[in-house]
Amino acid sequence: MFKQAIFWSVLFMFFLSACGSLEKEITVDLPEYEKQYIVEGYLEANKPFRLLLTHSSGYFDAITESVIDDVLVNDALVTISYGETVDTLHPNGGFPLYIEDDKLFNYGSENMVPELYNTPFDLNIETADGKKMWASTQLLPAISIDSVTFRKNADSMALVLTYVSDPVNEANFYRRMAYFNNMDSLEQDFVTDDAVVGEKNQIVFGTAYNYAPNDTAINILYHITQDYYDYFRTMQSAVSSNGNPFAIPSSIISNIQGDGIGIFTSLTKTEVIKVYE
Amino acid sequence: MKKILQIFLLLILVNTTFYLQAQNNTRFTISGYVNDADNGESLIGVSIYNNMLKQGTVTNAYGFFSLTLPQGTHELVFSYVGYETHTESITLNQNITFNLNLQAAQEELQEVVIKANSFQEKIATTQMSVEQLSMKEAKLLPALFGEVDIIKTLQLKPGVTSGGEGSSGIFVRGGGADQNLVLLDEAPVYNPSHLFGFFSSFNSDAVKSVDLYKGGFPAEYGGKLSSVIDVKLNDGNNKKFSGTGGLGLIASRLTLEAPIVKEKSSFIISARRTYVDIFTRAINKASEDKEDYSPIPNYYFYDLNLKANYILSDKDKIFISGFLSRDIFSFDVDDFSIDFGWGNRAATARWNHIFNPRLFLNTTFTFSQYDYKISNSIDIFSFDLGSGIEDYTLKVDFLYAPSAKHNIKFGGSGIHHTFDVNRINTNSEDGSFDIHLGSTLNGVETGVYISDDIEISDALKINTGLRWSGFANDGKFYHGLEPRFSARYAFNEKVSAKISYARMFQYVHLASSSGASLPTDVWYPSTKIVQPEISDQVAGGVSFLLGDKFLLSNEVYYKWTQRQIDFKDGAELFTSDNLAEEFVFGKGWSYGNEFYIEKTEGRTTGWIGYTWSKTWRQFDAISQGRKFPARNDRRHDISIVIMHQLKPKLSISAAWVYNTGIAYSLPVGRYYLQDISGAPAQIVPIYPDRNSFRMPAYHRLDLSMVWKFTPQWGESDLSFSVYNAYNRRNAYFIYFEEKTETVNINGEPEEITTGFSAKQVSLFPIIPSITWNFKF
Repeated sequence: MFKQAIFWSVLFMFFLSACGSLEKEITVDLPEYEKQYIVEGYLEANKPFRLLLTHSSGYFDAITESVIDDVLVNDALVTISYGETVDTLHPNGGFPLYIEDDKLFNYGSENMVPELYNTPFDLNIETADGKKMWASTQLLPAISIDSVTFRKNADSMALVLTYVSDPVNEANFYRRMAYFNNMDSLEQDFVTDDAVVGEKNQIVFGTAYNYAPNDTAINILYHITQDYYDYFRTMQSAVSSNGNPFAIPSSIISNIQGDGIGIFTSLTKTEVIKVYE
Repeated sequence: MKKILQIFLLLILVNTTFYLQAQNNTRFTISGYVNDADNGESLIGVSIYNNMLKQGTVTNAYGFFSLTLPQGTHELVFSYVGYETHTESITLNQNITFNLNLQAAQEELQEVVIKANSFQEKIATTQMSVEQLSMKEAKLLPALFGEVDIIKTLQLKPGVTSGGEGSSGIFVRGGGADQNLVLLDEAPVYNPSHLFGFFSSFNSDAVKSVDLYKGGFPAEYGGKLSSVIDVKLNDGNNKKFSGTGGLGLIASRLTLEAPIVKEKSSFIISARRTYVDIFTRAINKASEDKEDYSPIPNYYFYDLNLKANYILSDKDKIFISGFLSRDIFSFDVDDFSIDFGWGNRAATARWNHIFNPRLFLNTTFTFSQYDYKISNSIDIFSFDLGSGIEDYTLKVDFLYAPSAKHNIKFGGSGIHHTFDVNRINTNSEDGSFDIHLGSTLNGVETGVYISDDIEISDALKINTGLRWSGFANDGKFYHGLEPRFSARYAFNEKVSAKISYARMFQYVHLASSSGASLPTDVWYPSTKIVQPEISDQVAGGVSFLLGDKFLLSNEVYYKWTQRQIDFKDGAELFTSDNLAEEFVFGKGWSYGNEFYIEKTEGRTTGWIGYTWSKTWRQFDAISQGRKFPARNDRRHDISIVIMHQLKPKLSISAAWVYNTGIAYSLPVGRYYLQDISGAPAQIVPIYPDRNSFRMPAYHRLDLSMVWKFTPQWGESDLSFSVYNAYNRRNAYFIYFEEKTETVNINGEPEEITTGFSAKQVSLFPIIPSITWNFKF
């Protein structure tokens, strides 16, 4: 009887241990990491020049202040040239940072980005430690959203269809963002090329049946450069590879030359807001 | 290359000279088939040996043998492990046909006598780098969820690694998962797995034998770089109606076989299906009225094997067989539905003809198809994505055995391939949009070969072969010569040394975006841009028979591969009309040492395998052109398998595996991406060179017990299996997680990042299972 009790107890403990979590925290020894400069600059016509210059960190480096405050690089010389003009972007006294829409930048200029569609904008950065980075981009024309329609089902819930005419005979790239009711509810965010264009030369973006009467669909379409398209996809691939057992992470395709990585690009935005009635 | 070709032509010439010299004596041929006495199944690899002359042969893949000996009376010994040895006195005054039904050994002990080939045959043959399995072996071993899996059994052999925990994908001597030529009754099977690779598509009840060639490839095989997995199905019992089956935790199977015309014709039908979906459907139905009802997706897989044969005459046999495997995943709720299905179809029609006692012909026509399709619909909108490959193959193989010291094989094949690449269709019923992407490609693959296996002396035996293969597609014709050579030097009956060289071409490639083999990977032909992959492998080894019970062998190999394929960074996998533009090309090389000791007779049997190996890849476009280890590069790989017959009706087994963790990529740095207005900021990982980290070492112990009992009808057994018996948490993948904390900022709760940590995820804890098997 005693032996049987021992036997069943051991068996019970054995299976109990098997029920433990299949996920656990572990220690991974990463090699010494050499920091890189990271550039993030988006030009939008008639908006001020802004740029964020940071550096990367070792993955397990401690966070002393905040994720962004730890990595700001505020002592570089940053210029953007276009035509005959050389515009210097200054740190905003270090703090507070420039705030543009809901984003922070540590370099800026009072000047607005001119609507020069055939003129290259050249970025040059020289950091205090002598590192140099450069990149170039051009403004792209706006691509209009043809129409936004709601299609309702039997329960009166609707999905949103957004139709965009893709210009023929040229390669175009887009970033599609869709919001549900307000800018805090991002419903869709992806980049695409125009390979998915239909027979009518239209690209159609659709949502799920999420919309009830009086809900608002906010549709934003950015016409983007191929540089940004490649950067965004490879950046997203790197992010999604973390935690995907089948993924093979790719290098991020950056258009920043020299001693850094990141993106310097133009964005041309089209927006249509429509309420489901 | 020209020099190699000259050497091979010279060797074939030498062989032919030997043959002509041999013709000067009066010789006659005994030929025929060797079958199982109980069910009529042809037996592959039966040894037929004349002890006086020390000459012999073995039955081929169709159970046929041909042995030419001097005129006179000879005593021939027919032996096959697991069967009674049969001695026949034959008087040869003319060519004779002799068919033999060999009786299975009656002792219960023979249940653990597992090898199809005797050790002597392994010592004697020129073939090296081959692993042979019988189903008795696979059925005695522990199995995940009780599902006997021949591919997972092969993973326990040296030089063969798995694609990861539970995976039935195999990687042979540093090759890729797509570089295995998997043949089911001679029809290629492109994705022989279920459930994303956790189970193989082969029903063990229908399979007769499995041969895995890791190197020294015979000239009749071509088309893949790294291995040949030749699976033969049972022919069907031509003596009496019989059946086998089983009920397991996740699937059930049933096999029926019977004569159509007794001892002339038979059929076998074998089916397996999982039934988890039956329970999930019931749960869904019971819950559908609930307010928070969220249906469980529906998943099941099945496979079906059919085969029939007819003995037309002493000289002619025909076979037809079919294979179907399918995985179905579906989810349907309200207006939204998604269906994801993938699977193989294969069919074989085969004709065996004996022209004369020395010349045997096998003619095969096969059809093979693999495809996957993802269909999704929302209301009037539909979307589907799919890819596939479809082959029609005609193949002829001649076996000419002019003397006991000669075996000449020659033949040819032609394959018509059709590739559907990334077919995307999306449209709406109201015609508001209609998009079709993708392409259909064709290719014709051809091959002719000749090989000659000759015993030059008692000690030296060589096999020389030459294969020419070609591939036409896209206005481009690639072709090449594939020399094959192997030699055996027998120091005595117990010790032999072997060497081999083989060149292989691969014209059909798998475009895989992952390290594992997934159903959504795309088969793609050689084109103007994509050149055929090539491998060259040299191997050498020695085999020792220790006493009568242990065979010890050690092989070393070095393999070079050219034009290996990978995807470029940021490749468009699904919307590219020309997938070839997304490829990058590089090279690979691997080398290793495989140690193997096995025991196949007695109450305790099993083997120990140890492999030390390195596998490298190098692409100009990856890791800045620096070499990197392949994902399945494993420095150490150990398998210990022990089976023991405790009592006549009770056997136990254990399998322990240990291997170095796979090579994989982890980020070493991170940066803060603010992103544009309206998009959330995120942390972007920065990866160093590919596969620069190692998973923790993998090890696992599996146990099983098979208890046989005799019910009122037939035979039964209960198989108890424990997978991962000591509950090791092997790493399936590792990821980095953001640690956050909610703080109060200006009176508002806000989540801030405080650091990062690494997490390890395991897949299978200890998994006990029970399966009831029956036979009648």
